[in-house]
Amino acid sequence: MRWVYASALSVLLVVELVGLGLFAKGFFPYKKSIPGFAGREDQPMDIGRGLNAPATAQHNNSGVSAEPQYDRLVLMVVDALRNDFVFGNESGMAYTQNLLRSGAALGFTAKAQAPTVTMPRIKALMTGTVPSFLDAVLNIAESDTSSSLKHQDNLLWQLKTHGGKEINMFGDDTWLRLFPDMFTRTDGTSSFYVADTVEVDTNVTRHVRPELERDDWGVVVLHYLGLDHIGHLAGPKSPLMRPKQREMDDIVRTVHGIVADQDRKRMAADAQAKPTLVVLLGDHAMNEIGNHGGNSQLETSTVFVFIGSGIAGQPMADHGRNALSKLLASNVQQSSLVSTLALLFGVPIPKNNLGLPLPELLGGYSDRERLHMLQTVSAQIYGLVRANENNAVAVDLQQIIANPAVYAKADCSHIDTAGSQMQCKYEAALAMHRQASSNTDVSNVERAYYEFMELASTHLSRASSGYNLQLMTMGLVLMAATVLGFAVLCQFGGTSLIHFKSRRLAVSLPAVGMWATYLLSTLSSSLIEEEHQFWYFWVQTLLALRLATNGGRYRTLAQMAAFRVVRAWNQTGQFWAGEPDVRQYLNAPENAWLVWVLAVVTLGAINAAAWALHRRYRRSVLWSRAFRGLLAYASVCVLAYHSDRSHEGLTLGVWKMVRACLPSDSARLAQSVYFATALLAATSCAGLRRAGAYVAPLDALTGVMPLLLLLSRPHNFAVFGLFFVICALFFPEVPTNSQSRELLLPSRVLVIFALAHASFFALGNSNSLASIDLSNAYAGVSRYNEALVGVLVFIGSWAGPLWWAMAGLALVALETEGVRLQLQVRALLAAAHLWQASTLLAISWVATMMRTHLFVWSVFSPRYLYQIAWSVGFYLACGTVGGLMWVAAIVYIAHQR
Amino acid sequence: MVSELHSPASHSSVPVHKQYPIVFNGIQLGLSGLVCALALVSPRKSLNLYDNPASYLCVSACIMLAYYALLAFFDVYCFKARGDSWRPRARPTSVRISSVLSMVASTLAAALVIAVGFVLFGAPATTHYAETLTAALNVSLLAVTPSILTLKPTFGAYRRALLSAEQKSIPEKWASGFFWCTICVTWMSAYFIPMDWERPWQKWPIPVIGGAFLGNMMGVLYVLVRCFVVPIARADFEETQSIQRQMARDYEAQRGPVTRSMAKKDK
Repeated sequence: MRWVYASALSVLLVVELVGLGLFAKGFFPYKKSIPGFAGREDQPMDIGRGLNAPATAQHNNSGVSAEPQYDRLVLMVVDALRNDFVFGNESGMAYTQNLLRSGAALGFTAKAQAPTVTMPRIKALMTGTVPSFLDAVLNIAESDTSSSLKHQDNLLWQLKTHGGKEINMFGDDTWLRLFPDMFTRTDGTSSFYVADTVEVDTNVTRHVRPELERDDWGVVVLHYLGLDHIGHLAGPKSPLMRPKQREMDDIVRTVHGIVADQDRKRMAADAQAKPTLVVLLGDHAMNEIGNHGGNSQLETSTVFVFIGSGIAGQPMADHGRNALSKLLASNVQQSSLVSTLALLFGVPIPKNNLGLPLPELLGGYSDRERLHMLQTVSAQIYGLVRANENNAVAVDLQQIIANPAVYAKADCSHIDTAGSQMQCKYEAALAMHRQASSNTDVSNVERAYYEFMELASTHLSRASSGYNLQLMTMGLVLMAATVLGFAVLCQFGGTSLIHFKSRRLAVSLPAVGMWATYLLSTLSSSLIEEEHQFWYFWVQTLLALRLATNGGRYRTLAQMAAFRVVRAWNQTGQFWAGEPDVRQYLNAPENAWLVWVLAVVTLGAINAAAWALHRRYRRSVLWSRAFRGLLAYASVCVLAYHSDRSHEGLTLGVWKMVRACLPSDSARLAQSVYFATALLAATSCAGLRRAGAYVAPLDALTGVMPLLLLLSRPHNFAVFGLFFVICALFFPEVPTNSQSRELLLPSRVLVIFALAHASFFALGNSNSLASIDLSNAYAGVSRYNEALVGVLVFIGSWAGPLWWAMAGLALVALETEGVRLQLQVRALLAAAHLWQASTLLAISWVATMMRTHLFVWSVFSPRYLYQIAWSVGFYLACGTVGGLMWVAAIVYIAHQR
Repeated sequence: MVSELHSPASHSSVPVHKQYPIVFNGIQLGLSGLVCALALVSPRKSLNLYDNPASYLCVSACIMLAYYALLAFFDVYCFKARGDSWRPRARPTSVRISSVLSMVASTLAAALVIAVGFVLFGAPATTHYAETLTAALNVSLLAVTPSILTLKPTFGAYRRALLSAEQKSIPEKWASGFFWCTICVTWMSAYFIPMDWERPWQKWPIPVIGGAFLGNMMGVLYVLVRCFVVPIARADFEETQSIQRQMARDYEAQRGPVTRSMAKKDK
């Protein structure tokens, strides 16, 4: 039976993994784009009347395109530059603000699209496309080179090839991976060592003056990461934020000064020379906590500031209030950078561009030139329309030129196929352009072009991910098969689901109710964003049901109260993420002492719990002492690690003495915690031969704590303390007092299961990529190592669920012994996998159904990634493999006695 | 309250359902639903659930409280009218007033417990006190007050009626019907709060209030079936059966034992 069970389980898991892989391959495709690079010959002939004879203007690049307005470009990217950091009242960027107020610079709020992480954003900024969701994942897997833009048309390639510019790049090395062999001189900094907020920027700034003062460059890209790192570490309200903004402002001042000086000299020397354009922009922004990745208003609101001698903005005077605050609401799309810059520099528009040029920046051109530019961009976008829509066909320019009046009057609004409608709008704009003569108002032509481009851009950015439905269906079928398989496994290999004889459910009603409501809730995008609400609600419901059907009233009430406090600790999700919570209170500088008091109390309580448990369950003196000693040492190391990294660390005299005895380097501290954890596991097992083996899991509950706390934030320490309290209140089980309501009584394992899921959210995680916390991902890692960092991120994010899973196993192991333990574990595993597989199936199905939904990239795809982490990382790797090994070790030791 | 009212079955010769005048008790049931619905009708336009929920909920609670106070004063609630006596029992006024006061006190106490429950289930703990308390008072009036007026004021009686799965008397069914219907629908209605429909009614505590009133209406339906339709149908069925048995006996008495098997049985 054991072998049948094990082989059935492994076969089902393999089938599930295959199904998951197939589905993911179909659902997260690499983006399909038009291959090749745009050239001068792609520029359409000017359809405007009277200037070029149509026949000769075709494929002519001499007289058609307007003169470029700028010669050189400084692209200053400040990572996570939110719009209020530049335009807001609290901004430290006084120089930039003055430029904007005087009209010497133009500012916009640029809306980024999810996923708001650096690599997809740079891709979007340079190609003008909507990047595929997979880029968000590859952003974390740094070494991936397949995502480079070597074979995709982009602005830098155009500037280099057709503009003949030399391009230099300093800053985030993502650019180097995206554009291999593009840059002449480079200095890359790694974007993933988040703890550093100073060096990353000085590394860039030291190049600014020497590089800009040379005269051989055409484009300089500067990418500053410090601001983003401050956001990740301490949030947008950190005391470091304003000095960093001032630093960025100084760099703007330096760049602007050098560039203006040089422009004067160059233009004096050469009448043909054109000025330099400086663009200050953010790749994405950050939310209230300082993270990013999602689709919220704050995360997507970043900045464009154009500074250059041709810029003529409206001077803005402050009448008692900040005049720039209106820029906070002036939204443009981030993708418009590509077409705008391509037009300003007179290079062809990259083939896959979906961005509309900013009309404010084209003011320097004559009407004829501007209309031709709009025609160029429209022609390029129409090329994309034709590639994507079957019913959009090639436009016959000669026909339009022959009778423009017919096309201009066409009513496009009631055409139902999107492709034909866009074609109609495009033709109408061309015809109006043709009709316009030089002395009439051309604004209606411009409007017609923009109307077409907006329609096409929104339509294409929605449609621009191709799904492979065949693969997805195959994946769904395999996943459905596994769900059935796990149900069968539950029925025959675990505690059964249905009593066939009495034709009744064998599982408790709360479990079924929770399962059914959970599967239903995956249908709702808001319940995906606010999944924590589901779990918080159900934990309290299960506890309330225990209260109603079980004795032990005060303990259950205490658990409910403790969980209510846990719930208030970290506001998460999307809608209420900014609400006041305990975390915000603790992170206020004046309350830093409280964080450390809570941390010390929690660590002390964990050590005290270890003492109490050992006194109760163990008689071996030596190993027990070793265990407790190691635990105390690891706890102090954890405290030292977090205190060192914090700006308001512990400063007590006693602490300084303790601190002096520990390794001085924070990486060493973290490494000693890892080492101590390994030793704790060993000592816990070593002492077992004399005591009952089944108390070993209890050691794990205290022994693993230093590791989990090391990878968590200090303000969350007390949450783990509360988890401990809730868990302790489950022991011992109270006998039920109403036999007939047994089906309504949720078992402790069920409550712990719900608590495991709830604890994930209670520690501040959510179903948005923005909440992935990288602040402790490098604890003890001195060199970038993907696998290790990935594991640390997983343990850090899933710390709560992992601890509760251990608590569940400990509970089972403590109350059952020997062969029954194996049966129990089998039943538990089968049930957990039934849950996991059915959730995965439900979410895959919902993702398939919603694949054209507006929220597919911002809500359903991140949820899918999280579900993969739950299914594969938590349930399979940790729960099944780790759990089975653990139980096997316990049973083995127990038999050795 | 008299204890015999709460005994599950009286062993008199009159069938159970005949002891309770259906019309009178039915009027009461309908009236309780009507009053709960009326409590939702606002006297003024400015006094609505969206703008100032606390005062609105205060008004609706007062209406229901007044209704229940009348019932408690005249001691006419849930099958209190029995047998042929349509009139309420004569009781001294002081007893009546004290029963009203104890009803109010228990309702308020239950409201406090429910408010704590709201907070445990995620209602705001530091703000919206007035909303939480008035909402709890409303839910308490809808869910618990029927039990307060019906059940004996002991812990055991409540547990028996509300939590156990034992056989229940008709008043216990009445009490638990209102309690569980209201509580369950209130519980479900909380799911509407996190939805992103951005409707004005999604803010605390409006969905819960809606759920509570809806649950109470469902409680009325449930009680109608459980305490009126089912007992009457059952009694009717039993009556029919006994009549049939009687007829068979009469037939046999006329014709004498006909079959052999019956003759054997008689020996």
